[in-house]
Amino acid sequence: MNLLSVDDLAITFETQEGSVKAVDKVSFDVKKGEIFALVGESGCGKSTTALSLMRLIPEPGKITSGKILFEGKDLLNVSENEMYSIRGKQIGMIFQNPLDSLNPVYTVGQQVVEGLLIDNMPKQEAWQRAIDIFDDVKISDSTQRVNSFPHELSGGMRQRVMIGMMLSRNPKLLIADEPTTALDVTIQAQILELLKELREKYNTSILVITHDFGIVAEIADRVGVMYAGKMVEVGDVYKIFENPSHPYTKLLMKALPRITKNQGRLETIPGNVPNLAKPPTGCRFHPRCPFAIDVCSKSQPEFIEIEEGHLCACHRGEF
Amino acid sequence: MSDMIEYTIKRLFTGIFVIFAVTALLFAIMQLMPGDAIQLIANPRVSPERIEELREAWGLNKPAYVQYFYWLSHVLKGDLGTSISTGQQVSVLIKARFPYTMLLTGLSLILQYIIAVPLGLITASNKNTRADGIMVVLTIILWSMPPFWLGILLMLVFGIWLKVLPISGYSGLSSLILPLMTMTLPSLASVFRLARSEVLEVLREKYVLTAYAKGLNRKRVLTFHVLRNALIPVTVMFFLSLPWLIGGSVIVESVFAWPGMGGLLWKAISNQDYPVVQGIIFIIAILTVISNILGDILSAFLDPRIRLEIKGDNL
Repeated sequence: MNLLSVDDLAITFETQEGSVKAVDKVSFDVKKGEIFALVGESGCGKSTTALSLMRLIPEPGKITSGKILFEGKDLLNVSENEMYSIRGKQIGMIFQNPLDSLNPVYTVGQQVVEGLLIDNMPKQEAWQRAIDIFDDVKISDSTQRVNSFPHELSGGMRQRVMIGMMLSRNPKLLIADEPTTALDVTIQAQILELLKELREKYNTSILVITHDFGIVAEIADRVGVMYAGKMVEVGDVYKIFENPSHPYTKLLMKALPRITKNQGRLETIPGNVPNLAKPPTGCRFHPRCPFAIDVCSKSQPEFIEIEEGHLCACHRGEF
Repeated sequence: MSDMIEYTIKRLFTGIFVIFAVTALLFAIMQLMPGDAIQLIANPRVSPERIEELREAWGLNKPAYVQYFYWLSHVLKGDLGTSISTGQQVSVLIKARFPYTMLLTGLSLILQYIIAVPLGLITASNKNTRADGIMVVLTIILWSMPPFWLGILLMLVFGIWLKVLPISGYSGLSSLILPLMTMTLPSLASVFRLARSEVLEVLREKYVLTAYAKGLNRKRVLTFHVLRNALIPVTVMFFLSLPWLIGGSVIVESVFAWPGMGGLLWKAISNQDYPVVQGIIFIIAILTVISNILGDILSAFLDPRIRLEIKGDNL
């Protein structure tokens, strides 16, 4: 069953260079209890998509069309007041850099408790709950740590605080926008492990936004690959890793650093991400695509089903 | 807490040096001015011998450093000296002027912050609306007006054309209105602009997004998360402007012949009445040092990261 269903979502930024379609008719679903990953290069619209689910896209961004169905209710039609009761309670969100995601002038405990008090929990109970939550996200010395200020904690600790804070009200969906990008590798692995564990414990669905296929392999059940504001390939993680069908996905996987037998150069994708104020005609990837043919520059490819639970938008998807 | 006390004591010690450096420098500058107080007050027909006698009596013929140490030794005994031009005790002169300055600048400072800070928060959180645009333009205009010019303009409109308010001196509370406006409006504009830009900066912070994502409503985010952080630099600015609470505004007080310390300072400088100038500047220097320390302590109280720095400095 779908917990979240994004349908033909389009987001435009009105800038001086003209309107930029940061997200163009993107559709995907997140099922109950699953971890869905949105992957793509910086600037492909994945973070904007994530923020739009909370209706928090920064100015001058605007959702121009589409639907965001959360448990069947279109979040684009609810009032701002109703959004207050959805954010945090139904959908939680953690951000890339835990250093600036916490308010520097309040203790981490105060910031967790603040959220719990929205539900009219008595103060004492809320503080106890904050300590319990800190135990859940494996912060040692939780009774002391609640009184720490953010700058007294390490990056990994702060991200644990963020995760705990956002899970403290048992949301059904947790959006994690590049949750480990600002952390070093060992801490990365711990945080990913923690997210998987908490998904079981709290029965939360997780939407992970990342540029790193390594993280996708580590954590996701299903994955959506975005390029220049478009979804190009969606499917089960195993199927996509086994049989990447879109040329962009293939190239992204080749660009993944790993130790291979013939220690060759790290592959890169030639060219640059297109300027979204003037996106290429047809398939947005065709200027950089080694397999491009005439039709690619003329018409936008539709999704075709490669196999069950694996969609790809490519004119040459049969490869 | 003990870190804080240690820090304060250290700051007080450096503050004492600052105060003496300021008075010594000021004394040197007064010496560089051509002529002296006796020449300015004495009638041209007074004989040169008599002038020399007066100089002798005031100690003005002694070397500058002797005069300075003479002044200093009296200050340390609590005596600010005697005005050369009026013969009155400097402390008496200051005491007579003090309440007027306090009334004018104190009220002005309170008005500035009570009006400007909430206005800054409201306009910044409604950025790009018409009201915000009007406030920004209005405050640029107010901010760029020289106070003496604004004062004369207000005199002209309210005192001469409309004839509703007294334009000069002190004759009851209605005399307060024009100098108060002249003093408050430009500063209010600058406090407003500081508050607004600080709020705008904080609004761009990631933790504001976190606060919304947590499910807090706009009012709570603005007052609890945004205002609290934006207030840190505003508080520092408030304490930096505190010394003028006592020092008074030289320009505004002179324009309106307000019987405060600023007017006294202005007159003393033009008469080269150095004991009075030294006395007032000495008090302003003390207040500046104290307000700076108070500002730092309060901002440490508001911002735990500054507390950490203070702790680090003491280690």
